[in-house]
Amino acid sequence: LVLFFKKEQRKESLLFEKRSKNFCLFWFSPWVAPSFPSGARMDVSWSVQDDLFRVEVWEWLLTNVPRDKRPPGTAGSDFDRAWQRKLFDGGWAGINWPAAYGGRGLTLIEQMIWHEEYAKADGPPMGLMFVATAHAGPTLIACGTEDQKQTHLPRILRGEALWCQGFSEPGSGSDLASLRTRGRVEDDEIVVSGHKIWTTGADKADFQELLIRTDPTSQRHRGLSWVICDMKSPGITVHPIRKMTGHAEFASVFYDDVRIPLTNVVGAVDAGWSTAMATLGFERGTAFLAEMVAITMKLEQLMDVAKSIPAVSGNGTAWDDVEVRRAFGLRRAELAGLRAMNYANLSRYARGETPGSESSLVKLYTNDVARSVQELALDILGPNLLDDAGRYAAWTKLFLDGIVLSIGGGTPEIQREIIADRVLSLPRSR
Amino acid sequence: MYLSPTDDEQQIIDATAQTLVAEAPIERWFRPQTNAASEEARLLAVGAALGWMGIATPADIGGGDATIVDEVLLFRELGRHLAPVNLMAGAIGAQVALQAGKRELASSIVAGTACIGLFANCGSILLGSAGARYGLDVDGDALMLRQLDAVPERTQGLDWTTTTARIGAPAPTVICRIENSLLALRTRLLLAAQLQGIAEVALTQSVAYAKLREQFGRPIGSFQAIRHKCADMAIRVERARAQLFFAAVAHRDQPATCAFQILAAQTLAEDAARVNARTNIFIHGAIGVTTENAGHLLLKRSMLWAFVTDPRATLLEALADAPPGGV
Repeated sequence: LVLFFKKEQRKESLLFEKRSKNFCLFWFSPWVAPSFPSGARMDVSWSVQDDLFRVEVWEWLLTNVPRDKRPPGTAGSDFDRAWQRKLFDGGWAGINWPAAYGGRGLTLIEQMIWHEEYAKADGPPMGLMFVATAHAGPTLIACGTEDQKQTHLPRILRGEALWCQGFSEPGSGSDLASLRTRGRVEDDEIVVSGHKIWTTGADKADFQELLIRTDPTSQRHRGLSWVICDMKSPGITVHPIRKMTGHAEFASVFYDDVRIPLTNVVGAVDAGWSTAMATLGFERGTAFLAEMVAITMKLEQLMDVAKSIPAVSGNGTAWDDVEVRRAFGLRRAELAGLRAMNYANLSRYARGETPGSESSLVKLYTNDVARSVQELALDILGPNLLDDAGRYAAWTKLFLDGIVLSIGGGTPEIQREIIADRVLSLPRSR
Repeated sequence: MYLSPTDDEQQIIDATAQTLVAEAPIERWFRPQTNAASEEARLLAVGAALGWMGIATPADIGGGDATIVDEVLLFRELGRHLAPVNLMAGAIGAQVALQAGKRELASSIVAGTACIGLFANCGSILLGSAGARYGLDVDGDALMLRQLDAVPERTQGLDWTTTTARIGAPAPTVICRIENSLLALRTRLLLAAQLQGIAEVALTQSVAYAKLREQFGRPIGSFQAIRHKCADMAIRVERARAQLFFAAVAHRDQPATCAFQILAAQTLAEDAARVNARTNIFIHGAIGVTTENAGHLLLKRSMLWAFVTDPRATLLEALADAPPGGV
């Protein structure tokens, strides 16, 4: 059995190598893969340098985290730019981005420490900077030309460029490879026509990571290109869409003969699928660390609420109910497991492994745990949640956001499909 | 911070796995001549020769002086192969004897000449009873070895791979008793490690069968109802494994604050083993509920390991009451 398992694992890793050669996906962490001296062993403690870094982060956040709340929805775009600028001035933008492009050039471990302290200090959400810092930037570092990197990376880090994502279409959600927005190559330009949807922050964004079909005869994931689209280009129309949270962060984006220079193609023309997979890999690889730490903090806060709020049953506080305490215990265990999973993945990346489909496990599980914490909040807060401007309104928002987040970046069902295909190598269903 | 087995640690895993594939394939339970009592005796001897019970005891009583992390990696492999409960009872029992000052007993446990059975949480069921001269009884932070003077009354256990006996009142005489919360936590870690092995085997078996078994002209692994179950099994395996490693390292390096991590590891491993073992049976369909398949053995063993220390409800309450997990 074990031999069988190992054989399967080897097959999987060979497959993966083959795949990563086709893709321009590689990991840009400057961490040099450590070669283990004999006697090396697993370790969950932080080094002195890690601790010093943590203190440095904490001290900076203590004096610099904005006191004002981020305005909700796209109204927060100026707030997001200003906060990113402040991070940049403080030396905290692009912690694991190469120093040559304005980053700190540190490792994913420091990135992890940053996320932990950031959540503890109640730092604001990255808002509309998310796509620029967690998607577009890492994708450009991995797949972009020198010119593209020099043009865009410093602007992202300084908060001068908000980005949005243009992947999904009305007919292409989970089945992204069926997308139909066309790009016709004319001389040194691509002329784009079509329709993208679920684009968060489209009306405020300066640039878009846009995935289009440049080979009209192509099928599925062949013949696509990943291009940088200037959102101020003539021919772009944005129609905001309101989410159930009440904010119109989503939008439909229409392209009517939008002209994009060929030099804006990231990766090769017609080879955009591999660039897109790199983008999603970055999102799934590390972008959920912040979310994980935030849920952990929320659960501890919810425990404090449970100890003070009257039980829905009317007897004592919510905490007096043994079922409630057990529910907290289970969620604490699950969050401990999620943290350990993240540490294990980071450890493998630090050793030189490329983030792969295992990140779908983390995304799916992060969303699941978040939802289970939010549902526990419903049980504890009960009718208090009906006052959407009341003392506990933040919990309602969290609950609704949890559902939105689970669907963003790939539904739970499509994540399970990815795990089945790429982690478990089960026969294809499609 | 490094939470993935290093090359040295992987060697322990590989070496044990190799031995177990030869000595204790799960398929051994499909042979009519295999019975629990003789398997317990045989693998106790194999384990003693290879130093399994003494892996983490001092060298001067015949042990290997390794750490709890190495011991956890070993027992994860043993769990995968439904190894006798006496190995785990021996590993902890030797520590109990040693700490109680009974070095000779500790040595003979490590050498496999004194076989240790394992009391279930209720105290009236002894597991691995056939050859046992002593029983390990874990009650909170107290760990006891009880001497089995009378031949215990054999009964048919739920887990067919484990000999089981009823122990009536009065309970057998305690010959060693120590209070040691770290050793009690170590017991939980070894339980979690073996549960982890079960959760992993259940996933491997499900995936292998889903690729092989065809219905409606296609492998069942191409149906989303099956694929998504397997994906959920994989998540249970991944989270429990990462937490198990984290907790084991915490026990080794930060003993003062490791309790939370270990309780979390035990909870996640119990859930992973029980739910994966059950899901594995469903994925196999009718063959899964027969004795021509290992599904029921994995399920029954996962239940056995969950009833050695506190019930799940108690674990969950302890997790809720603990200070938040640090490190």
